[in-house]
Amino acid sequence: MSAEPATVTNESKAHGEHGEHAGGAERFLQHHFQDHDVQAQAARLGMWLFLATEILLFGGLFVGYALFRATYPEGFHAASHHLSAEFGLVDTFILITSSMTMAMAIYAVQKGKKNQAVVLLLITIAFGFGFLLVHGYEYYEDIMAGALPGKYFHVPELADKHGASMFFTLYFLMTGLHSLHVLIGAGVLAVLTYYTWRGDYTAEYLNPLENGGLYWHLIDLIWIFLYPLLYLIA
Amino acid sequence: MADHAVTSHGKDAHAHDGHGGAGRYWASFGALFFFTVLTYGLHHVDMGALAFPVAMVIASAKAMVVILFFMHLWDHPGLNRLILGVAIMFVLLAIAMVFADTFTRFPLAVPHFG
Repeated sequence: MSAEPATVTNESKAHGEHGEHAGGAERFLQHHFQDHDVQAQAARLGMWLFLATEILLFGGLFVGYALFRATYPEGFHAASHHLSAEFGLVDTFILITSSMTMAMAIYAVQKGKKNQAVVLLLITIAFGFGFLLVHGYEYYEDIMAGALPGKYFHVPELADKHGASMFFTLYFLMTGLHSLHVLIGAGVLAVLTYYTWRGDYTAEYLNPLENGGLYWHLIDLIWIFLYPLLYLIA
Repeated sequence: MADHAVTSHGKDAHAHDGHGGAGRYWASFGALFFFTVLTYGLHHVDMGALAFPVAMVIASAKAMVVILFFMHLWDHPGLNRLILGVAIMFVLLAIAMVFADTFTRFPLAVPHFG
């Protein structure tokens, strides 16, 4: 019990120069945590456990991809040629830039610049929707070219290539699951933007924002592997 | 108790303090940009069998930049790194086991998918 006031004092000393309000953050400190740092570490640990399950979720698709690419190297090579490496490049630039704006948004909160953080979060969300727009257009082109897999598959140049349809099965599944994550990520960030604007987060307490950021970076991380695996085979 | 609080805050004060600052983020962003251009550029070079491992090495380097600096595993304690490492290890293990199974089968027992 006697440690509580001492904790507040030390927090204030450690972060006082950044100009946030120590009192405001205290209401977010759960009683069963000794202080904000312990709470933040617990929150991060929980988030990393969740991210591990996300990696394993995508992992199943990576396993399938590895198996079928090894089985049908020529079919995958020819089918990948149908995707535009340039569109993939644009997708990649959008996502790495959005990761940068996400990281800078958290940095702005840590420096007590709330409005800057809100703007950066809004830019991050905009990049997310930009990614979905570009990818949606790619899907449109793929579907128009007859690349929907299975019984709908009718790309003339790939008719005699074994594995080409399977490539597009994996392409739609992997990028579809990824795009779903972008959509969910943008939704999560929208809520976090509101809380940031309301002034909930300070250098002492920003666990939800930090965890939302980790989710967004994971989306970037998955794409970093999807880009060369799907677009750059040929 | 109060002494313990002082120690724990003294240690973590820098971790809260922007995790190395905006400079580190800009350097990470620059590295990601460079590796992206590099992997796209190398895509136009005919490297034969080397193309896939080179693309994966570049992707892994990009992933490390994101993990260490944007996701802060450079600063954070070992347990979070262990969780990520174990998840990646199990994905690699799953790939290895599926390969070990499928490519050691009697040829006619290997399924063929169009």
